Amino acid sequence: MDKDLGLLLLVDDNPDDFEAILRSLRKSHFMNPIQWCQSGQDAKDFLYKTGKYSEHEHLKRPVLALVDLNMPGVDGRQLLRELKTDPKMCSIPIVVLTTSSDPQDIESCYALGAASYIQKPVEFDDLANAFKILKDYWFNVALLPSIDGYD
Amino acid sequence: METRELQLETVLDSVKDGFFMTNKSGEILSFNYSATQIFGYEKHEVIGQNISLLLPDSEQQKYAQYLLDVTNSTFGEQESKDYGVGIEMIALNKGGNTFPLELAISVLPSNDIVLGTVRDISERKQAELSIKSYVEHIETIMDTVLDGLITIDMRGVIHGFNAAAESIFGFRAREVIGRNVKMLMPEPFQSEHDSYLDNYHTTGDKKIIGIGREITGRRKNGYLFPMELGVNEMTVQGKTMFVGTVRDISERKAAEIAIDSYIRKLQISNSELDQFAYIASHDLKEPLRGLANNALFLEEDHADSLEGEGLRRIARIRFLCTRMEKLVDSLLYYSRLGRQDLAVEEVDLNELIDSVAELTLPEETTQSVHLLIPKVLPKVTCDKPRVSELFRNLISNAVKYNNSARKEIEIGVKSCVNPHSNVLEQQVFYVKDNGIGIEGRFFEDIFRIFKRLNEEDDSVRGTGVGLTFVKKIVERHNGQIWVESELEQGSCFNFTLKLGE
Repeated sequence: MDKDLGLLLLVDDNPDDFEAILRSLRKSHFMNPIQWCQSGQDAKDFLYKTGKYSEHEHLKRPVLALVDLNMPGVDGRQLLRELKTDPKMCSIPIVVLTTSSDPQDIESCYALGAASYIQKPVEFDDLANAFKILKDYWFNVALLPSIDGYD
Repeated sequence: METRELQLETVLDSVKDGFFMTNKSGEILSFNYSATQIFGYEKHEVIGQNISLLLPDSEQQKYAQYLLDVTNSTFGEQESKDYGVGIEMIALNKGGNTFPLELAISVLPSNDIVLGTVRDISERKQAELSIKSYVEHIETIMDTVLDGLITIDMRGVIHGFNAAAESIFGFRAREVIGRNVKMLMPEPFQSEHDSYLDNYHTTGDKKIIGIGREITGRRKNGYLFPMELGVNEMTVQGKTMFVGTVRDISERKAAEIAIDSYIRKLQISNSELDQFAYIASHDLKEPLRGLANNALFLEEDHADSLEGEGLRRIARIRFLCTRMEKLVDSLLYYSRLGRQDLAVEEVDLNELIDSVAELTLPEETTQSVHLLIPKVLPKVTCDKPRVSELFRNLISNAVKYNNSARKEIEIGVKSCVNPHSNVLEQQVFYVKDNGIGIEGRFFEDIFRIFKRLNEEDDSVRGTGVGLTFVKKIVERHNGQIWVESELEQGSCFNFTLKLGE
């Protein structure tokens, strides 16, 4: 794994969605490492090196997180709120990725500090296209926070 | 006749009351003009006759007793007795008819002369009688009134209690008349009622008078019940009285409570149904998308080993997924139609239909479609996007289910009887076509969600929600929809939009 490529954190409880996203990213030749967490709590454990990640050393700090909103337990909204209020985590850009197009969700996610809000396209072709654009923007156009200072 | 006697007779004749004078044995000595008028005798016919001539047999004893009483009290006190204390009795006139009479006599102790004044009280008696019959009449009416009527005085004492009041409270009139009306009330009104009356007495402050209100009554058996009470004040012979009108509303109250509870349950069930449809649709979409994606990935990854039959089945799975997605979306949209608030505005239907037709009607080159609007349509208070959708659905159905070479659609407004309510509606909108028509037995079915009447190719097949949406939109506008149609003759969809009313 190339050390210079930033880690993408993907938080989604649905394995089918995860697989579709993974496939979309591969189609657009996304080479960066990907960490998949199946719940908000799992993502927190990974970021704070607790729970099942407490024995792991040298975990990479993600340069971008894609977060689903509706998940069991700690949901995307709560995860977003907690990370954005933690000075150590708030610099990680968080892109909300969800089936919901509820204006209230959109409003509150941006208010909490989401970097972007994307509605999951229903058709796979559209999903693949969305991820191609997402990859181009975040990993080729935008400059992401440094991966240093996280240990 | 001596001058003095003549003068006396003249004076007596001018007196309005009848006057007579007898000696101790009852022989009539004097009889004035008024007396002749009352009894019908000439003076000379009675002078010298016994007073018993003027009384029927049945009254003779009464007169004798009265005379005795007056004589005794007069002689006891040794003074002339004033005839102020009179009696009522029946007298007999010359014609042999009896009539009521007021009689007062006095006895002059010096010479045993009896003086009597008489007054014909037929008219007064008649008046009293008619008042009595009037009162009886009123009481009869009061007893036939379905509301309870209770009359009380200023202190709360019950004076009247009609038959309806008896059956409402379970008391007989004789059990309550003379008692305080408080007995018909539960606490705390029972204790407070005196102060209400006192308060009204002193301040004129009306708690209940002239205003109907719902209060609680107490029956004889102690049970409390809701009742409607109206109180009016009246003055009877200078005394303030109150008349209370009482209606037992237990049944009405129970019905109201039942209706309220049904409405609440219905509202809950409606909103739960809307929520259910929304949540179910959302949750259904996720596995559905997974299913579609998995089919796609299977095809992408294993196309070589699947061969023709396998690929055909995968294509079928993907097609069915798309179809299911449409159904779920329709369900979602349907539930949203029920839940979302309408954006109500004044809309010019002519403009609305123009723009809908432009987007909905096929190019003229491919099909011959003629849209006719016979007269200018009114402005309507409605949700513009929803009503556009309503017309879009009806217009596209009119074109789609139409095999005529020249497809005709007419949109207009008319007044006709609404078959749902049997009421003549002044403003009924209609969309009429010359299409394939609908059989009568399907007139209700066509509005059911996902119900379709025609076998169609997968390529053009709809989801069977268009008319369901139309109906929902009409209902959201407080309107109703009904169809008139005959097979092969075309259909006419009629509906009302009543948000503005």
